[in-house]
Parts: sequence; structure tokens; C-alpha cells
Amino acid sequence: MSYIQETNSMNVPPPFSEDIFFISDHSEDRTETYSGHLDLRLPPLSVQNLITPAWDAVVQVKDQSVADEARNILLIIEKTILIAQSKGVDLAHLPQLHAFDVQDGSILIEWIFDDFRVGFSIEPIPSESSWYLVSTAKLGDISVARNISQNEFDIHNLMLKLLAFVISHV
Amino acid sequence: MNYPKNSIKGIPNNDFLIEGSTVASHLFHFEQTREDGGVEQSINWEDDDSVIDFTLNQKKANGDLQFRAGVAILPRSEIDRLSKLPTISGSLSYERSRLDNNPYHGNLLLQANIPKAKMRQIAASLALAISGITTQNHEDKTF
Repeated sequence: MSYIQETNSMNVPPPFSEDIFFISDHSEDRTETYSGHLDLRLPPLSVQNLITPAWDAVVQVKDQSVADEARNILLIIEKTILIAQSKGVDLAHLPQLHAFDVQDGSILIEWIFDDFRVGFSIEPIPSESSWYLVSTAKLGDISVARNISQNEFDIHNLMLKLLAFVISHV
Repeated sequence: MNYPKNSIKGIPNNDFLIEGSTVASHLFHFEQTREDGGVEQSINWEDDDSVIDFTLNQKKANGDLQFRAGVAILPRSEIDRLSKLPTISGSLSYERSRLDNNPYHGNLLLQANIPKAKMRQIAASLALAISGITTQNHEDKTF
């Protein structure tokens, strides 16, 4: 993964510290009613709602190689969200993820919040595909961009860290 | 050269709008390459109160509205702030570039040889920095 940008923030936790993605393993301690078994093969409706606009946009992209890469990113995002939900993280309040068929042949997948944006730019040349995290001054002027690794394990790891950032800053 | 408080970025169509309330980052993608190898994108400078209407009424050669979805307002102070970030370090700037049919025209500029990943990130930072949207129906959304 090639390095390009790093945050200059001193006001917020580093976006990629390992300890900010907190997942409780103590489900027996929870007070709310809980039953049933989460089937990871069938995304629950709330996850589908989060990602549906992005899926719908990617389906319409004509360049299949770019669309395939975008679909792979969306699948990993979906899996990451499911993992978080299965551990009791409430994601119901998150905004929807969107995707855009950009005129230059790329696909932009973007998650937009009031004070920050997380995005994935899927390029016709795969080695140029990248992700970014930017924030307002209020969140410390975070400004990160890197090329997307071709290694699926790295992408999973990235998604966990980005989702951790989202959860801890919404 | 004097610059006004705001720049105005036209929104070509609803594909750039998200639920009518904000813009996707590709509105600020840099596309036009300059002779010096840098890249640019067009804006209008809000020199007076007429510029938003002027921009909303700009037309293509075929007579269609150029910015069918409306305009986004990008404060110059935000461009200055972004340009000063260590991670951008002066690679982002702007200019006035009057045209025969558009005295308000200017450009956002990026230096040559900026990696594509960084260009995408700067576009996202610009989109995050907009202070409002005015649609073709003159509905204002401020942030």
C-alpha cells in the first residue's frame, strides 16, 4: 500500500489506531432483548438500506472491469458492517453509501457525513484506485489518501479501521 | 488581485446531488490539463449579488442550461484553509480568468504531477467545504 497523505490532526484520535474499533464480546451483559441468529450470508434489511443506493449505481456501470472492482469493495464494506452489527454495534443512524459513474471512467463510492467524508475512487487502471478520508477543521482537518491495496486482507483491514472511525465520529 | 468572499461552482445535473442537500465529490474533480502540466476546473467568482443568477442561467452552445441542478457556494476562505494544510502544502490555488461572455470566470488550480489519489482527496475536501447550494428553483440549502 503506497503512502500519500496523513492527517495533521492533533485534536482527534488517530483514525487508524487499533483501539478505537471497540466491539463488545460480552453480549450476555446486554440488557436489551436479544434472540435469533444472524446469518452472515443474508444481509439484514438495515445493511441493505445502507448500501442499496451504491449497489444500484454500480449495476448500471458499463465498464465491467471497473464495476467488478467496485462490487468487490462494496462486498467488503457490507461484510465489515455485518461483522460490526453481529457484535452489537448500532449502525441504524448512519447515512447511506452512494456510488457515482464518473465521466472519466472511474466509479466514486462515497460515504458523506456532516464533518467528514470517506471515499473510494475505482479507476480504469486498478493500481490508481484510491481511498480517502477528509474532515472539516472541527474534526482536525484530517486529510488522508492512499492507493487501494490489491491484497484483499489489507482491504478488509482498511474497512474495519474506516468503519471504526465512522462509528466513533458520528 | 482582489477576490470576493465566495466562489460559485455549477452543478451540471442531479447526478451530483445527494438527496438534494449536498454534492458528491466528483463535482470538484480536476479535468482540464494546462500547458504547465497542472490541472484546473472552472468556477465563477461571486463579485456581486447577480453572479448566482448569472451562473444558474449560463447556457451551453445548444441553448440548454449548463448547470441544470443549481450551484454550490464554496467560500474562498475554505480554499485558502485547505491550501495551507501541510498535506496539500500550496498545491491548490485559484485564479481569475475572465472570458468574453463571462466576466466572473475563474479556475481552481492544482500543480502538475499531483498523484491521482491526492487529486481525489482534494476534490472531497472541496466538496466538504461548500457552505450552501442554490437549486434552479432558487431553493437555498445552507450548511
